[in-house]
Amino acid sequence: MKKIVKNTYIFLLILFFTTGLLSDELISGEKNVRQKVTAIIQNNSPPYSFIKNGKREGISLDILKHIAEISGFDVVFNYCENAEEAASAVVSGKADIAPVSRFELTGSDFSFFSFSDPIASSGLNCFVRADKNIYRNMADLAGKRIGVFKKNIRLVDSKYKTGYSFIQFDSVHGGIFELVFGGIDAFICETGNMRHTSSILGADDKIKVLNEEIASSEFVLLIDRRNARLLEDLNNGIRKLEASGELKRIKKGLVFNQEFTDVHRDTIRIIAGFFSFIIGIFVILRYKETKKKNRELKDHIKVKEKLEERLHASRVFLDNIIDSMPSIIIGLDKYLHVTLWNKAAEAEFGISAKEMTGSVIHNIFKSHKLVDEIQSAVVIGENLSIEKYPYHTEHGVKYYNFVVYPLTADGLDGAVVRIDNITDKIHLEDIMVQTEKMMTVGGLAAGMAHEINNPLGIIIQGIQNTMRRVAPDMEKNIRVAEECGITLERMCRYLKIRGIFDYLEGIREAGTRASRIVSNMLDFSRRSESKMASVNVKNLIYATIELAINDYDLKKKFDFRFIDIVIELSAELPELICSKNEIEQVLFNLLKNAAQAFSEMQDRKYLPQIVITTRKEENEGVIEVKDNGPGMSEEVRKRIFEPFYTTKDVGVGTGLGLSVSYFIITNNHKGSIKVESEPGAGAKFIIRIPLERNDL
Amino acid sequence: MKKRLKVLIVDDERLVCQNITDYLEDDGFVPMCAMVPDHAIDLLKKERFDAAIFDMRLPGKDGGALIIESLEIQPDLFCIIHTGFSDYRLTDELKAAGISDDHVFTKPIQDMALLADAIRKKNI
Repeated sequence: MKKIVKNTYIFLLILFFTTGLLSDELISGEKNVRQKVTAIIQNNSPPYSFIKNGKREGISLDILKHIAEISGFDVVFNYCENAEEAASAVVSGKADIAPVSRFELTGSDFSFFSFSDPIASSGLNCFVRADKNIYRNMADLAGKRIGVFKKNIRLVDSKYKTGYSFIQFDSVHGGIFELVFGGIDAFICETGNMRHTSSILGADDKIKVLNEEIASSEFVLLIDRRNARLLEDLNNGIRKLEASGELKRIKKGLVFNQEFTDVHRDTIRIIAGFFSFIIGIFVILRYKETKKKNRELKDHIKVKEKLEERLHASRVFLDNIIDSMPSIIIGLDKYLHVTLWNKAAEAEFGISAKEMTGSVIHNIFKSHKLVDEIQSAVVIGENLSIEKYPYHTEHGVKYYNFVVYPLTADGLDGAVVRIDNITDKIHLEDIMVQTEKMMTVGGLAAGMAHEINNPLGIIIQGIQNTMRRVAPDMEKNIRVAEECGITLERMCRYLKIRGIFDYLEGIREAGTRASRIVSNMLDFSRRSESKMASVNVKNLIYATIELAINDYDLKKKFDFRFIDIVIELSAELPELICSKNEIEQVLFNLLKNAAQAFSEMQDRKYLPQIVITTRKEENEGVIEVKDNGPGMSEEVRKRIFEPFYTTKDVGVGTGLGLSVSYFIITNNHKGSIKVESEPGAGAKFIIRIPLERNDL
Repeated sequence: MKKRLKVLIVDDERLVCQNITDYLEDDGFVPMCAMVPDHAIDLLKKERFDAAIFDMRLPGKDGGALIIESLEIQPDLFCIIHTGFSDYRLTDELKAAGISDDHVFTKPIQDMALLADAIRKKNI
């Protein structure tokens, strides 16, 4: 059964070819009544004419077939490369009709031709990538890489003589490909062709057309001027097609009419037979050359693929560089639309590049003054540098350095803006200024101490001598008293009754206390000499407490005498390798903070308590300072070591105490400090200092 | 009877000198006072002292240099440093001359008995 079917096919095929070959002569004899018209069709001019899956398709063919049917003539198609070739075929009489886009006939003498009514509008346009907002018209593209479909190169070249250079493309496919992958910045092509090809490639959403049309005209049927009859027939046909809605359908869908194919089977058979034969011969003749060409084409594709790969790699590399910059890099066009938005910008402003691209910079920088300055820098073309620009956010003030580099080359006006967040740097500078101030005060204290120690010595030793010289048991005292005619006993009684001894004792005590304050102050301020040494933990803690008790400022707000200080020392941790002054400073800050927090407690029955605990844990020494104060919220706890963060009233705290403490423990001692606290549950600071240090 | 030890006190502050002098005198020493370095040198050249107490900041001369000079005159002089600098550190030169941290007293001395004891201990 199958074999019969197969044989039938072969038979039919033979029949088809023979009838096809013979009928040409038969028809000329039998159907001479029908006029024969030759149309010259461009090979590669979609959507008007093109080859798809080996079949000729396109608006030109469809329309001519319809018109031929309406007007009662037979149409024969010949093919050529471009509009000018088609036009010259008409001039030389080789063809009667040439469907063309009028603008393509740049080199032709129009006086030979008549044109039918327009079938479709057709224009030459420039296309760019859909995301390239910087290109609006041809002026924006001066000096850029612009591809042109080779059919249109003459017109484009003659129109844009200076400032442009064009790359010729053999195919629209190639042009779109390069455009989408960034090999070229723009591509010029006939609009219909571009639309058709890009939709095949699925690149419709990746490209867009510039507003500036390079050439606009209509798609028409060109004929010899002398052939008025044909012009009438064609226009008549077009009108009819338009009236029936068929024209619209052809233009839109590019669908072959089934009915038409049936009616004209003979014609098609003739043409098909003829062409099969021609093509057959052609294929044989050209086989070798085609093979060679194919090989060349393959090589060409390989090279192109490699180039594309490299192009892609270099794009990735550049993107990588820009995204890896710690600086915020923003590209702007001359209207301050964002064209580039790197990762640092995404991170800083919390807006993705996708969201930001194309939108104006005003959305980010609300300050009109700043935007105006950037705008004028772009217009004038001068670099602009703004330092320490304050930017108010809900999390406080941030500081930025701005540098605006205007882009003036190649008519691609705009700017690159580099922004650095220098908030931390400024805070660090402030800390350094503060530290320097403290050092200065420390230095002053050291110099002053010397001057105070001498008079203190005179006071203390003066009292010592005085007490000794009124003592009733000293031989010399008795003798001198006798010489003066008084008795020592009576004098002593007098001094005692009048409270002189109490005064003297008071003076001595005051002198002693003053000397201790001076000594502690010096220990505290002596930062530059902070040397790591083995320090007795007990002495360290007691010295700090004494210092805290003597702190004058503290006494204003509260009194340490009312605070129950509990010290629980571990025998396992008698000594710690640390800088005595620095750890004292840290503990002092913790005590001071705790004491200040107690003043917030309103309850009368409240008994403020600070517990200082030490212990040894593996190879770390641990000091804990725990209070039963008001505690703190999670937000405060998270920010407590931040420089300049303070919950105290203005002028009470600098916001530096705990950050300096943090620095001392983590940086200078390679240890750690953390806080555990909850509102209403007090606070516990835990300091850990390594017991062994290799770097000392 | 015990030998009365002779002590030289060098301090440009009159009351400091007087306090120490009076105390040591009451304690049985023979103290002498010099308020300028040159006077101290003169006294050291004229008489033999068992001990000397030096302030470190003196008019026209550094206390350390004066100690070195004094030891050249009387090599077995027991030298005590009495300074207002709380963070005073001995120089290498003074250490080489045999002066140790035990000989350094920072002002203000709470009890002058410490001074007297140090001198006595040295001269037993």
